[in-house]
Amino acid sequence: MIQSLFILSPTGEILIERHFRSILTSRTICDIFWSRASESLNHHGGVSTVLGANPFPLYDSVPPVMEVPDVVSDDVDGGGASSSAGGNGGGGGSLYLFHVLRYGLTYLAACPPCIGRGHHEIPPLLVIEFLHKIADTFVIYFGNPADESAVKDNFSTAYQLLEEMVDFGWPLTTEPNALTDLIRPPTVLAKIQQAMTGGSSSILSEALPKGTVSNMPWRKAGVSHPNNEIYIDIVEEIDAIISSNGVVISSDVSGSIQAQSNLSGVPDLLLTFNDPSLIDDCSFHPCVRYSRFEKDRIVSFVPPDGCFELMRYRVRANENDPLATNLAVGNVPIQVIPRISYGQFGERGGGGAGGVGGGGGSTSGDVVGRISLSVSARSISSLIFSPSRKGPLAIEDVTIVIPFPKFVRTANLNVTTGQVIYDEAGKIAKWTIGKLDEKLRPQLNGSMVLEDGDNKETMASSLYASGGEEQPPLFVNWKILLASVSGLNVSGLSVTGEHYKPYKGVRNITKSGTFQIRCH
Amino acid sequence: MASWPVVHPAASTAAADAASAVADAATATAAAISSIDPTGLYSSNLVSSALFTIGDAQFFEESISPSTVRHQLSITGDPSNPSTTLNLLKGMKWLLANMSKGRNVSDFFPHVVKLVGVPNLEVRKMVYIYLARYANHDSSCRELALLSINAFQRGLADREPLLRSLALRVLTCMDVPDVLQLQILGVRTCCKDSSPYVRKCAANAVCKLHPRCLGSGDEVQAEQLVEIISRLLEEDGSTMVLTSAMIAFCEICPHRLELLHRCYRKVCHLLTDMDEWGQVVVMDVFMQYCRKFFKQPRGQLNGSAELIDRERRVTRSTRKMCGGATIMNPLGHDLGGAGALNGGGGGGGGSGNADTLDTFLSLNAAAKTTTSSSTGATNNASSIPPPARSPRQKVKRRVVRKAFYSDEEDESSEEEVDPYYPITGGNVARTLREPELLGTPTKSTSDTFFRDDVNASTLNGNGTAPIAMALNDDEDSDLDEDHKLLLQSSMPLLKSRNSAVVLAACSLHYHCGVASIKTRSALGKALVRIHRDRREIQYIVLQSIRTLVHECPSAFSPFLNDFFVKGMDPSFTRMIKLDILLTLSTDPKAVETVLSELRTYVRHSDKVFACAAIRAVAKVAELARIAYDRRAHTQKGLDIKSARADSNAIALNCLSGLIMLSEYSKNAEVVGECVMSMQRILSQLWSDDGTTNTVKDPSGVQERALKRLLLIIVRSLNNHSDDDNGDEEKIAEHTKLELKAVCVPDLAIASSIFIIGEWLTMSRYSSTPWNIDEKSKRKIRFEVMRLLAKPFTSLDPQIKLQAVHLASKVLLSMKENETASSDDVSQKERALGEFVLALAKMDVLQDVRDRARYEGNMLHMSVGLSYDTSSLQQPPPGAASVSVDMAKSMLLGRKPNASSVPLDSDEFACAKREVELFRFGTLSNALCNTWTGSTIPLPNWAEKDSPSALRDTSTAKSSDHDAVGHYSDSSEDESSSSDSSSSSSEDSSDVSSDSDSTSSSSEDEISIEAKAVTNGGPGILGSASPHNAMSIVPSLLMTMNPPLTLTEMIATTVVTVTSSGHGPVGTILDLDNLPPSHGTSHFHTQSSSGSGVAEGLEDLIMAPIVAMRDDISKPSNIDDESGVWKDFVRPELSGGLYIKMRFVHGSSRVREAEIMGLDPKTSSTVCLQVHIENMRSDAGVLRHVRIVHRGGLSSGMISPSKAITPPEIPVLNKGMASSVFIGLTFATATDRDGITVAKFDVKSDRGMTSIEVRPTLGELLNDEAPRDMSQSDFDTKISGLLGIQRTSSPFTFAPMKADDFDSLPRKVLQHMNLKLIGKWTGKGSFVGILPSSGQEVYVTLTCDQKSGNGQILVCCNDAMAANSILNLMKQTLKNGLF
Repeated sequence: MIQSLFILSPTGEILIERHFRSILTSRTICDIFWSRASESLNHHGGVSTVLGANPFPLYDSVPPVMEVPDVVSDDVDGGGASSSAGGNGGGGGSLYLFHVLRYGLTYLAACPPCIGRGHHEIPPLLVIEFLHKIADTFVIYFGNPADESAVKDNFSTAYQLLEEMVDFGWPLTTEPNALTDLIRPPTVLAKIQQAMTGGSSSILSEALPKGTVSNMPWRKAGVSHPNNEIYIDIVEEIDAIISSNGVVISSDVSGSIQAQSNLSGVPDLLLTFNDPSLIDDCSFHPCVRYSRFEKDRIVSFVPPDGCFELMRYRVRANENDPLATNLAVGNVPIQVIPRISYGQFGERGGGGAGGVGGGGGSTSGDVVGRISLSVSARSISSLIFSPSRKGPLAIEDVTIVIPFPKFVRTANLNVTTGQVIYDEAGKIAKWTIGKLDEKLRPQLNGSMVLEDGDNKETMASSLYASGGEEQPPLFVNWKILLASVSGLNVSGLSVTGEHYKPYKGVRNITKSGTFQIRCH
Repeated sequence: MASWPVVHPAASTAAADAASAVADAATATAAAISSIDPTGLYSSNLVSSALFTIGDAQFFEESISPSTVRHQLSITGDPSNPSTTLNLLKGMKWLLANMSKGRNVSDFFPHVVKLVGVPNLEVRKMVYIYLARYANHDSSCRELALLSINAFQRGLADREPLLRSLALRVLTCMDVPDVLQLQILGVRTCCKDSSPYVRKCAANAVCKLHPRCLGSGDEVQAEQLVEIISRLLEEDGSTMVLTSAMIAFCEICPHRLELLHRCYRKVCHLLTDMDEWGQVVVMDVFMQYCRKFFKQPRGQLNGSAELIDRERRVTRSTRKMCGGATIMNPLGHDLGGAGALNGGGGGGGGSGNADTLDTFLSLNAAAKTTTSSSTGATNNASSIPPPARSPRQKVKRRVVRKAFYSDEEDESSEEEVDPYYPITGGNVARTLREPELLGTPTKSTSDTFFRDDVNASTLNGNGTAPIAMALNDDEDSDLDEDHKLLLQSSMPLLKSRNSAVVLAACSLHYHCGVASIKTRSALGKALVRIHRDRREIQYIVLQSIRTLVHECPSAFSPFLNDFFVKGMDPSFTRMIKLDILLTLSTDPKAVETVLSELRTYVRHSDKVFACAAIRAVAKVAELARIAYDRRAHTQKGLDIKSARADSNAIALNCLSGLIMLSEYSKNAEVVGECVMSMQRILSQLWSDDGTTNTVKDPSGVQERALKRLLLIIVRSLNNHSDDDNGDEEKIAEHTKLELKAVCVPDLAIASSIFIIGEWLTMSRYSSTPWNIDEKSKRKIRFEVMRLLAKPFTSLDPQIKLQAVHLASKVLLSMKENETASSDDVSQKERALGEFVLALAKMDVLQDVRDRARYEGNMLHMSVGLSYDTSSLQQPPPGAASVSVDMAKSMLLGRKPNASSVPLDSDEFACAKREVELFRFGTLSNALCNTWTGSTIPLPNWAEKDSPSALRDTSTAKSSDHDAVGHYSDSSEDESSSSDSSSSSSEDSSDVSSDSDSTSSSSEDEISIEAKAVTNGGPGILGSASPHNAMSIVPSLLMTMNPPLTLTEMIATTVVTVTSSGHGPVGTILDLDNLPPSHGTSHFHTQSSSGSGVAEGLEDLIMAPIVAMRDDISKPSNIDDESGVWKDFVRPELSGGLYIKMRFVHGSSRVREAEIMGLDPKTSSTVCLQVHIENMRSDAGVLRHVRIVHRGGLSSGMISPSKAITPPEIPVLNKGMASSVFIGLTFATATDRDGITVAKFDVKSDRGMTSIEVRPTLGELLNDEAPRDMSQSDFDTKISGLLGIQRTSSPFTFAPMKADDFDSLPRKVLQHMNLKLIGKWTGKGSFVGILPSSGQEVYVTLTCDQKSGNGQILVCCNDAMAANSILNLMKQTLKNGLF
């Protein structure tokens, strides 16, 4: 399986290097990879991560799997025995590089083409999933985002984690509950303590990792909480593509059930839904008994301790017309109408807005563009609100990310509500609106200065853009509490196997998934 | 359920939020600490240094010098001194940081190797990481590494399994030849370790050592390592170990699939319990196993299903056969249009000039079908075998069958069977069946498909019914049990959260499963679900979908919208999505949707993608024609003409869009792509496919397109002849052109020259778009030729070829208009044409020369060329010259539509190759390459199933109990017993850990046990008295999954009992003591349909009995020790299911409780014997009978904390009965009567009934303790209990017979768990113990048989309990006596 793992910083520096199979993969493969990857740094790549935190660059066109010639281990350290064993890593063959990109860090795994003695190919998804699992674990340990500085600050823990998670290139212990038994997540407090006490005992808990030997690797042994409580969030995300005039082109609702369990002992939970038929297709945390759900549509499980994702599901599509979108036209709770145009404005005061044929050769005045966005909340959406909900519709955490085409040099944006930040390097603007209700109708207006008009090609392409081209779609993020698209709700949650009566909390959240507005 | 209006702070959805909160808190604390007065607890110095060391990033800096580190590492102070440890930590971190930076820090090896024994685990782990990296670095390191071995060996003997495994892992990591023997020794020890975690690591270590053994040429050692793995696979029951053993198998001996026989069933059963990573590997290995040892399922055909190009070819060629006539078979319509295409296709008759075998065959078959349908058998379900091909019968059968994966719904599917031509025959037939699948787009789910099928099959004429009936068996009935088991146990994994698992499960089902539409849709659904994941995962999943979608578009057509390209899709997924969208454009609605999406994509900023989208437009236009044609064939009231009009309208629409785009865009690539797509669409519109094809083009789109193409040609060719730009006018023209069009790539020019040439030479009588007079046409012709001739030598080869072609076409068509050709212009034109031909004949390129010679000669022979004729051949004397008509038909005839779908495009070709060469989801599929030879083909299917005995585990070996799958799907008790199950397995694992410790402590015991078990399970039972053994049988069922065939079990038990009874020496069994076999009488009717596949699990499931060995020798009689039967479920209310239960007392109770893992000493534990019987009046079968404990508290009541319910009974035939046990442990013991209740749901396929079990206080009493009480003891005891502690009540009873009177105490005992003291003489004394307080209860029952008067006296310290007992007694007597 995985022969070597490298973790690269956003600038291509190797932060972690680990070889699992007694074969020292040459570090030059990282250079090979990086030279390919850096070619295609996408200036809009950050869109996907801008939703959460700071944008990280993404390389866009490097597929996650690639083949590189296996550079004979030239041992950077200067002379020394390279591998003798393994048999398949020798020079002349190829290595396969798998990478995933998380928070700007590249997790790069080098694998031989096949498992062991060559009767099985390496399942590519296995490697990719595992790399994500490592990144997920880093998030749990080092906080969100687990970016360059976080990993650097905790690199020794990272090495230890890899030691426990990987054995001979194969996943060993991957359940967070079991891992936290083995290696305690570093906290600032623990570090201080360690620094002062010499760190003899605080870092590694002396308790045995029962999790790894129990039947339930996902649950710690001997959990005890003073207050037994379990919280369940039913989060439904709407993925939608919406045209510039507000027509829903495609929409898709996928839900997940996030739980936070603080229950002592080994509780056995039974979760029932009000209308399980709403669930079309689903996947479960390994703790869930599949067959029970198949039979009775009841989720029966012994939860891990702490936060976890119990299940994911897709909401059943419209039976009669599978091609129809789930949400009827205009039923999305938020509407964003963009108007973007590029053309010749400037001092001369207005060549035609859509000036396709307008003579582009003359140079007086900057070529500029105009942008205006109007945002409004729609109360007549198809959301189902929890009965406990009071007051008018309020959409929270509304942000709009506006990527600009490459030929835009800079933008000058004004908003009526919230604040907008334009990132010159990434050519992305992020407009944070915050809370939106029906009364509020935030507006964004602004103009863009395009790249110099001297260059005919650019000029041409900017005119070309006036036909509505090249304007990437906008991304809208929002969240509505206590509302649901599907109407799925928990009708009961019972605990058996333990005597206490836990506090149970359930809420619905509807939020945006990939919610994009096309601008043309 | 508390509703939860307020946002609770703790319920942050992401774990990370919590983590950051903790971090915040910690920062605050840090601040607090730093503000502590320096003179306080901590010195400020220490605090500041502490704050400095926060964060390891400092080690990446250059601030620390190597000598400092060396110093830090070499301080050997007191190991318990914190500052020493801190220094070591710092030093090691620095080393790690430098390793990360790529520095060679091997010269620290001597310092580090000393630290292997450091008490601090964190330091030690870092030392291990360092050692693993540098142990084999150079000779000195290798030597020094030997110093560490001692520490590791100590570690291997550590008390903690964690440390043992850590030591083993690191020890085996070191690639130092000298320690190989030690490493092997370590593995040998550890693979017998008591902790599964250590055994897991041992299995992993085998992977590491095996190549080294081979490397050092030690084959024997290597073979021994393989043996270790095969033993682990066979004997170990822990999923954790099995996972690693399976991986090791994969690594070291993947070709020896026969090693898997013994563990096959076990692993299948435990599949859902394994960790995610192991599941992937297991499925991969079993895929090979499956193909090697089982025969191919009938339903599985290579390259089966719905290849759209086949479909298209059939449509096209059948139309050719029709010769333009639209013959429809109206009979087909009633059958959901299924047979319509066949009818339409076959109408033309039999002569075939089909180009491929496939088409030929399909036409043949189609013709035959039509024959049959015309004779009145209106169905597509039968097809008469094509006699020309084979005399053997090829039968398309339709099967209504029981679903394989779902239990509830029956469904039908049809299967084409041609035993002798499985692949070709199947394909043809499937292709013919195609319209049924594709032509009904609105049917979203496969269910609908099947329902239609059912209808169709019921509608089928009687004519073919016998054949259909004869073959009417299950599609998967021919699957081996074990093959089925694998498929069944992997099905739930489609719901895994891990996409790798889902994909592996899909792959397994695709390559080894039944290729029904139903299965394929299930796979499709799962794949669509996981494709909405992170982009790297999405990439792989989409590639797999692309492969599958070619096979089975209908599985994905409901998810069309999911494949729309989103704003931030990376380029590598965009292209795949586009491909999938195209493949899904199989019906008019989808075509429309896809086209509107493409409208957006063609303007994408990624030009490569935009070009692909433009290419796609032309393809969709072509697909639209197929889709509409198909609809016309399959729907009533539509004819081919109007369908053609519809599709042409779409094509024109596309064309118009492309024209617009080519006007807008300034990007040469984009415009070039537009040009090529326009050419394709125009070719399609003008193509000759046999229909009277008049393209209605009211807005003159074709004209605009032609104009646009001309403009682009002129502009581009002008660019080529730039050299003579002296002319003022030309420059002006040039600039003007530049504004209007861009210069496109050469390929696009070639393409447009071709289509312009077609138009220019289009014969006059065909309906020509853009009808202009001959003169202007000739002008255009001339100008284009001129532009081509001028820079000819510098043109691209493709353009040259097209120029030659154009020239010859022009020359030929001029001949046609001979009359007009005498004028000057035509002279010039002719000269120009021949000039081009002459130039081409002397071109540097072979291809161009050949083309020119070929076309030139043909022209010369037919029409005669006038200028450069030197190199041309004269027609050979005597031979007929090439006629003009012949030449025309070769050059000018209407071309058949040169389809671009899907064969000629790169993406499609690639996808096609994937189908043929790669397994989807594999690495080579992801990379789409073969040259490395990395693609590993699956083995071919076996000729026949291997005997299932191979997979029998005849010898049960290990006493590992933790194998009982915690969540195993296949463990039926798990699934049926709901809540309680986990607690039960908890218990069983407790038991197992107990026995683990005992077994490790005394080796002898193991061997004894093992021997006992080796006798085949019943051997142990043989040591018990027979009816004792009998009574164990039902309880066995509870621990068994899935249940063995009960009768079988009994049979074996009885046989063993008997045989060992007759056996000569050493048998414990005394046959003389064998009572009349009333013990078996309960069971002889019992049956449940277990599957033989459970046989692999004896060692797992029988485990608890081993613990029971001692008790079994004690005689017990369950009938004597149990209460009366009580009806719980009445057949008339529950669809024929009858359930009665009785409480079990005494030693039977103790035994059953222990078997079920309950603590019999707890008086709140009760056992019930349950009798389940099918009493349906209609002789029907009951399925899935199960008793499920219903949790939930009700106020004031005590419910069970543990409930062990019996496993599900899959099938219960009429008159069959089953006897099982339920075990309950109530949360608390109580002395109050009537507050204990356990609720159960009894479920079957006929419905659900809720029942409540309320054990009375009488049942809960304990009769064990006061064992040796005599009558006198009793009397003295009750004499001390007076007053409130004594309560009595008189009662009367009717006179009864002496027998009845004598049995009175037994009746009492059936209801009350009391013990009779002395003998019954009309007066009886009973004693029992209260469950909670442990106080004794004394009961005296006095009856006078003659007078019918009696009295009950109850004495107890607890007055309330005494009262309850009294009441219970009264009730019992009332019920029992009258």
